[in-house]
Amino acid sequence: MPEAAPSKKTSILSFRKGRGAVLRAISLDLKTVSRAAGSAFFQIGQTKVIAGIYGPHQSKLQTDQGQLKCTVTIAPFSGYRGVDAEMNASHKDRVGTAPAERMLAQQVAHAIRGCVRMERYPKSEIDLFVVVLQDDGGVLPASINAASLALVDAGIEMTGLVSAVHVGYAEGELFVDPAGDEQPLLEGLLLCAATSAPGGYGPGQPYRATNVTSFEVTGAFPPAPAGAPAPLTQALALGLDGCSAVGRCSTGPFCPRARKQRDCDLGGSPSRSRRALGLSTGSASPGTPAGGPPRSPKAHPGRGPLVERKLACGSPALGRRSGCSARPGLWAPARSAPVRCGGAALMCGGAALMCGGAVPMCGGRCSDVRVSPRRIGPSKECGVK
Amino acid sequence: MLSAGERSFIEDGIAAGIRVDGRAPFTFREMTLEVDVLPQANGSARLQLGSRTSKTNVLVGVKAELGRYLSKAESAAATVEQDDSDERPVASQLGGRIDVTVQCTAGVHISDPMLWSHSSQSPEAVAAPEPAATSGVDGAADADASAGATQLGATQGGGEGTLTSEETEQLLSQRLTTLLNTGGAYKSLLEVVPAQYYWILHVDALVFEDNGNLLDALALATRAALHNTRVPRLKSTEGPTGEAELEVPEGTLADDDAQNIRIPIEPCPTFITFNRVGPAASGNPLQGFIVDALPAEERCSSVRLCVGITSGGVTSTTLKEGPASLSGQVLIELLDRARASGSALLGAFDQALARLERRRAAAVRCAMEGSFAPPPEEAESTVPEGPLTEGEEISRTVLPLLNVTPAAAASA
Repeated sequence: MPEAAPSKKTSILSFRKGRGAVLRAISLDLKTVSRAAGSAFFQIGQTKVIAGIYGPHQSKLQTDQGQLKCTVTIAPFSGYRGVDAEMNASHKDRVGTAPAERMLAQQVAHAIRGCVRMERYPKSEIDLFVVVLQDDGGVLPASINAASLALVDAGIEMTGLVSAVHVGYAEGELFVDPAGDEQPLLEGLLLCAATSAPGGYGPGQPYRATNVTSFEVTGAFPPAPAGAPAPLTQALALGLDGCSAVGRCSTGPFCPRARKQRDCDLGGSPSRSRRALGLSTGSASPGTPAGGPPRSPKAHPGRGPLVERKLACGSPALGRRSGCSARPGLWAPARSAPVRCGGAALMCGGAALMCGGAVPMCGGRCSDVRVSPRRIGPSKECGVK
Repeated sequence: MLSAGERSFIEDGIAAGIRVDGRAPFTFREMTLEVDVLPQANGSARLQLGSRTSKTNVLVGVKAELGRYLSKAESAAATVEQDDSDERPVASQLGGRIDVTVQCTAGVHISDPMLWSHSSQSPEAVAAPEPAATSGVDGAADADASAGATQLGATQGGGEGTLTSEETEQLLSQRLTTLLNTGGAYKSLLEVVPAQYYWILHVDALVFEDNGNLLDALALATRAALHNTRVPRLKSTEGPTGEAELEVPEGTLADDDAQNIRIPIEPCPTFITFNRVGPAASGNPLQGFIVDALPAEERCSSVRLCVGITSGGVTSTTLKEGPASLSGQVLIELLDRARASGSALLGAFDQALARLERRRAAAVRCAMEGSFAPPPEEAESTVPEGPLTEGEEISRTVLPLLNVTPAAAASA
């Protein structure tokens, strides 16, 4: 962008000065595609991605390991801008979205392939379809998150959940999960996709991502200034924290027992988190429409009590899949109601957590915080491909 | 296709710090570098990594083209389409850049299995997948808790689909283009008339042989070719509409350097690729990592990190490939090592390029003035330049085995 005015650049990023370690609000939904073996909807901020898994079904090749075929479709209405378009000045990517779709498919497949136990599915194929519905920055990490949730929903055997996050570098500071307006202003961008160490996640332990499955840097990170660690090293640490936070949000629905013992607080809208902390709510929060989570315990009788209010996430209680946390190999949840999990606090370096996940970026987006997202399309009949 | 015996031989050797050709883990093969090999190109270089039977051989040529930004009237009227006509200069909105295209000559087999795993195409287009021997699950043997569980052992190429050669070429081209254009450093350096005219450098790389470490070889050869590139110094005059008009000279470049502009390579990054062979060790995070892998070593490798690094220590395009995962601590150590090794590698490489440039300048002076005496400023060069040895030409030099371990580099 040769004509970008410097004043515009500083005004957008200045909203995030000192708050670089906060993720946008996360919403996720399972079983969005009824005809798929497993599907998930993942939303972070205003970036929305649906993933669907079809399979495993028989393939023509007689191989010892299954094949995972990934296809990404970017919807024409999504406003996809392409994170690399500004940074790399590669004109080929501007001609159409097809190269971007192929590139995203490669990247998503690379990030999750290492964690899927393909040796359990010989002579089979698993098809993964990812549809990008809206692009507001962070499409690739959202696709990776949605894809791993869909795999879990389908009951495909995995060694762990993969979560991903972007970390951007600009003006000497690191920003996790940069939004669409912020991405062209970054000097360097890191995609970090990570999974937990085996046996590293279970009741009593918060989800912690340590093993990096995909690490891609675009742009440029400067070398280490004297006496301080290099920005790329700090970005990696921040990325792992971000993956841990996303992983905590994603694994919340699957292991209610683990959630009870978890000590992290997932804040939703600011009013919700204030309620959790016992403060007065003030006026009606914009993020709790009538169809919000408080309705859920009644709508799903027999599911057991809502987990304690300490988890301000407010997700409805889920099917009792006892022992799913004890078996690290198997991540399939019970057939349960869709879950909503709002907001994600980021625990950075063991410091006190920052709750109230939605960050007001610019232009009054804080009023768009929604804890329970609208379902995309008609609920039961929506199919992907 | 490696047998289990060969694989364990390679892995055990690297665990003990010795590779199959006797190198240390962080040592590059001997490089032979030639510049000015294509007289019709603005710049060219040929790099041979290794020697005798197992070498990676690439040739890179650079041609410069003039581009101009669309004027306001044009950008308002037409869509931004590449103009296929012969009109010069090319009009677009993108600005100065370097476009890399990689081609493999006939008969070249890209030996790198991790490039194959990037394919998301259906396997119908694929030849027979890897035999079952390579898909044996070594994952159970990796008992190391920190990184072992996600290593599914030898899964590369396990029937996931191979790339056609066009796709391999496109992948390599795209990686190199991304590497060279990140940060916009060249965008401003390639401006002829600010906001009006700029240079587009078309870099065409030909791969003659691939025996391991192709990406690094391509990046280094491109660096040498860019160092060798000269574009004519253009005069701009004020046109009737207020926009500058350039005189674009036809014909070959003048030998006299006063009329040419050199392309600076300080902002040019190179790739340095680290492959991990064998299981991770909890004691030493860099256990098992090697640089400049041979094809057999690439097949044993379960994870790879390609780091783009400049001589100033700026880290640009970086990619991790391979089915295994890397723990955060290993990644941090590896990135630090990449910075140190990158500066050692580029230091030696740039010295070789400077050596070639001095010889070339001396030869040009010889031809123009008929004198053999070096000019006074050359006498202060710190690198002693002996007489050309038998067999070495003016435009060719050899870099010996280069150890890029930080301890060795500091003592060198």
